[in-house]
Parts: sequence; C-alpha cells; structure tokens
Amino acid sequence: MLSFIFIVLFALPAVLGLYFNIGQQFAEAGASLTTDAYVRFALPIAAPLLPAVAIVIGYAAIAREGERGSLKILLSLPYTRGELLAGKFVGRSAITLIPVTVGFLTTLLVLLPSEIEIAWESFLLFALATMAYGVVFTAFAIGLSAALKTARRAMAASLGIYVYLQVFWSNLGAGLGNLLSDHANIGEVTQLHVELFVSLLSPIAAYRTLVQEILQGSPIRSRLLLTSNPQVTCEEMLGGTLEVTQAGAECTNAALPPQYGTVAVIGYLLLWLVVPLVAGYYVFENKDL
Amino acid sequence: MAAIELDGVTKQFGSLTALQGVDLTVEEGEIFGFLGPNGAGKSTTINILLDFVRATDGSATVLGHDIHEEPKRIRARTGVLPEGYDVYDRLTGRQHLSFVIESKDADEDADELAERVGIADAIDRKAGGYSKGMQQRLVLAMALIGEPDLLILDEPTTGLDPNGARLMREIIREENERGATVFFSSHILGQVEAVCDTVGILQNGRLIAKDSVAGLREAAAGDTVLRVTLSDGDGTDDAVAAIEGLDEVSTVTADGTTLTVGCDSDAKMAVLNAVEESGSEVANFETEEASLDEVFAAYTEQQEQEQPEVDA
Repeated sequence: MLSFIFIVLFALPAVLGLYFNIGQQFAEAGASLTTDAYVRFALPIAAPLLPAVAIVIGYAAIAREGERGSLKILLSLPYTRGELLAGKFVGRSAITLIPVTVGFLTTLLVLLPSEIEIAWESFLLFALATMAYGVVFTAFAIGLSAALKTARRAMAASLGIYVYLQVFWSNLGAGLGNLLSDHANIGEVTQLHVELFVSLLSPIAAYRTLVQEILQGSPIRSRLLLTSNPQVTCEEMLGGTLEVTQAGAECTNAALPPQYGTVAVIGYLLLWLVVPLVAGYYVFENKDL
Repeated sequence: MAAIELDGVTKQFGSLTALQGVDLTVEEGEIFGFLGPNGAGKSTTINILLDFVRATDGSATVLGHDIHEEPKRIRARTGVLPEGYDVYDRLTGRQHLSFVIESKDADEDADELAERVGIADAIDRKAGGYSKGMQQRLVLAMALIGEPDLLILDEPTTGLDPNGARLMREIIREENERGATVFFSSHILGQVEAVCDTVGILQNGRLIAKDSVAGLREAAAGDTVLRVTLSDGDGTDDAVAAIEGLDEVSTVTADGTTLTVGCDSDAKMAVLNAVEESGSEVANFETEEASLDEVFAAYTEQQEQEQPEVDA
C-alpha cells in the first residue's frame, strides 16, 4: 500500500513529464530536459508529504505496545528498553525507506528508456537526501512514541509539531528578526542572520535547501532563497555582489559562514533525529510502564 | 542465595502508596504463593521485580542481580507471565514461540511447547483469534522457554477454565521439580493452597504475613460469617453489644437492620440467642463461607495480637 503511494508520488511526475512534456517548464531555460526537472517537480511533493508518512509509520511504535500490554511481553525477554527503542528505530526506518526506494527505482525504470537525460549525481543525491529526511521524521515520531503514554498523544504531538514546522516556522525566523529589530535595536544584518539561522533549524527547510543546493550547485544560492532580502543578505552579510541572471539571483565573490554551510545544515537536519531519540530514550528508560 | 529478595520496597503513584516498605525473601527452589485481594499491590510488586515499574524507595534483587542495574541478566533466566499483557494479534502462536526461543537463545521445539500447554491444534492460527484462556496458555508456554531458573506468574489462572487451572498447577509442579523457583500471585486462596510451599499475604501495600500453607489454613479455618437480619432497627445497638460480649465472636458490624458477625463456626446458636435476649427479633439469618478478604481480616487481627510486625 505504502509502496503504491510512493510509486504514484515519485514516479508519476516522471511519467507525466515523459508523456505530456510538462517537465519542460521545470527545466532551466535553454537547457535540455534532465532528471533535475523531475527533482524540481518531486521536491515540493516530498518535502511536506514524507514527514506525514514517516510520522504515521513511527508514532505508534512504542506507545501503542505500552498501551495494549505487548510491551510487557517484549520486556520480559532479555532486551533492555534502549535495545527495544533502537530496534524500533531500525525497523520503522526500514518501513519508511522501502517504499521511498521502490518509488525512486520505479522512476528510474520509467526514465531510463525515455529521452529525458538522467543526471546521475543530482538524482542520487536527491534520493539520498530524501531517504535521510524520511528517517529523520521516523526517528522524531519514535522518540515521541517512547516518551509519551498513549499512541494518540504521540500522534497529536508529532503531527502538531510537524504542522507547526510546515505552516508557521517559515515565518518564525522573519518574525523573530523583526521583533528583535523593533525592540532590541539590532541591525539589518543581524536581523537577517536571525532569520536565516532560525529558518535552517527546521528540518523541512534544511531538507529543501539541501536539495536546492544539489540542483543549484551552490550553497549560497540555495540559502538566499530562504531570506526575505537576498540583496542585503548577499552584499552586507556575505560580502558579495548580487547579480540577477536569467536563472535567478546569483551572489558572487561571497563567503558563506560555516553555520550556514552544507555540513552545518546536514547537522541541523540530523539534530531532529538525535534529539528526539535521546530525549525519548531518557524518558522511556525512567518511566513506569 | 535467595531467588527473590525485597528490601524495604516502597512505591508511590502520586499521592497513592501502593507498597509500603515490603521486605520479602523467596528461597531458591520454593513455590511461593503471593496472595492478596485485588489492589493490594501484588502486580506492583511483580512489576517492580521485572523493572517495568521503578520503586520509590528500597532495593531488590532477583537471582542475585539488582533489578534496576541488570534487568537483562534477570530476564535471560526468568520466565514471565505478566498481568495485563496483550499478544500480537497478527502473529501465530508458532511465531510467538519462535520469537521467544530466538530471543532466549533456547532450543525448544514450538510444537512440543504448544502440546504441553494444550494449544497444539491452534499453533498456526493467529493469536488475535485465541480465547483469553488460549492466550494465557500461549504466554505460559512462552514463559517456560529456555528452562528458566525462576518463573514469575502474575494471576496465572486468569481466564482459565478448571481444566486449564489444573494444567497450570501441574506445570508449576513440574517446573519446580526440574529445579525452578516459582513465584506466583493470586487472589484465590484455593489455588495457592494447592501448590505452594510458602505463602505471603499482601494487604494495602504491606506484607502482613509470610507463612507455610498449614499455618495459613489454621488461621483461616476459625472464622465463619453470619449475617443476621433483625425485624426492626430499634434494638440494633443492644444486639451489637450483646453479640460483642460473646467470647467466640471476633467482629461485629451493623448496617441498618443487618448485622455481620465473624465468629467461630460453632457459635451460631450462641449469637442468635444473644440477639433474642437483647430484645430484638431475628427476621432472617444466613451463614457464609469466609471470603478471602474476611480470612485476611481474621488473619491480620490474629497476627497483630501475636506479633505486631512480621519479619518475612
């Protein structure tokens, strides 16, 4: 069932692009149609949908077993609570990854014989980033499942946080920047720092900007997409020159501070895996079943 | 070395005290019956032993291992039939058994186990379709895997028919003869009497007695409960006073026109005569076999008179 959804999710755009040539509008002007067009098409679908799927897969993992009592049977066997949590994480991650993988493989099967050129590097990096993204949200849901008493609460908490990230987080950075600017008299550059940094702490934004980076080939260009004022960000904050080309804004001669670099953003994304698992483990380890 | 050792174990759930300074030793090779009414704290004690629930105070060891430090080593050598468990609905009986055999690195045969607990013909069916009794047999079979040194069974006869309960007792005896220590809880006196060497009685979170079965029976035998209904409520107080004056009577409580009297089994006529003499008329009376709660009550009172605190 999940595999089917993911085939539809990932392979359908490819099929559409192939047969109806819709993909052309996602291709960069003048360039030939490659799988990058497919990635552009799939990103806005995968970014909001995959977390929801991963949460559905993970939220009940431990909380429901606790509620129903099968946890007592598991923990009567020679397993510690930590091992149980680790096992659930591995198992549920696999459940998330199998349909994602099947989706990508189907896409490849559809695209291989077509005239769309496969840009292997960006396609595989996109697949890898998407898998990591799915695992991050699975871990997030499992962490909450381990910490909370009922599956219902785990679902409400994980979906609630997800909706918050999806709907409100993008405004949080800008809003916080404005607030500090109005009341704490911070400069425009500091305001943009706040905005960009806070935005990147969302796993959804982190994933999106990493995929943009794969497509754009430049971390700076993809980070600029996250700020409300690309010109000031480029020229005042990063010390570059903003050139608007046909392909979009380009910031030349700029240096990206390490906290916005690729490694840092991957780190922010992985924080959403590590923190829920560690916190979930801590609560689970110390609670009465 | 003791199989189970509890030292001053206290457990509070918020403001509710479930266990209060329980000291208990279960010797190796014993069949220990853990008796008490519902809500006395039996399951809490067992959950603490299994590290499902953490004690607020006190410490405990199982098979020489600290319950909180080394739960895995305890679980490797213990078979458990927990209370309030749930089987995996979509897995078959065989899958349940195989999973435990693998987890415990044991080499039992799933079919033989199923045969032993009487679910051989259902072993390949999904456990979600099992009756409560069959699920209980399945989880018992899972507890037996790996020849555990200790069996912890929480209300093992729940959901079992008389044949199932008999089978449970047979298996408990067999496992004990093999060398296993058996610790099981029950609120049914008869089941504990039938198989146990030693009995501990828990009430309101305190261990009020630890005794041999013979000692328990002696304490339990004395009391009969007599319910006397008076034709009108005017003379109730006089009647209570008259009954209390009798040597054979241990307790009297009045509820409207109904008097509940705990007394020796041969004191019925004396009680009825005392009521008549106090001026009240008896409309009806009935005797009741002592319920476990009443046995406990009698037992507790007797213990308090003889020895205020029990060192188990």
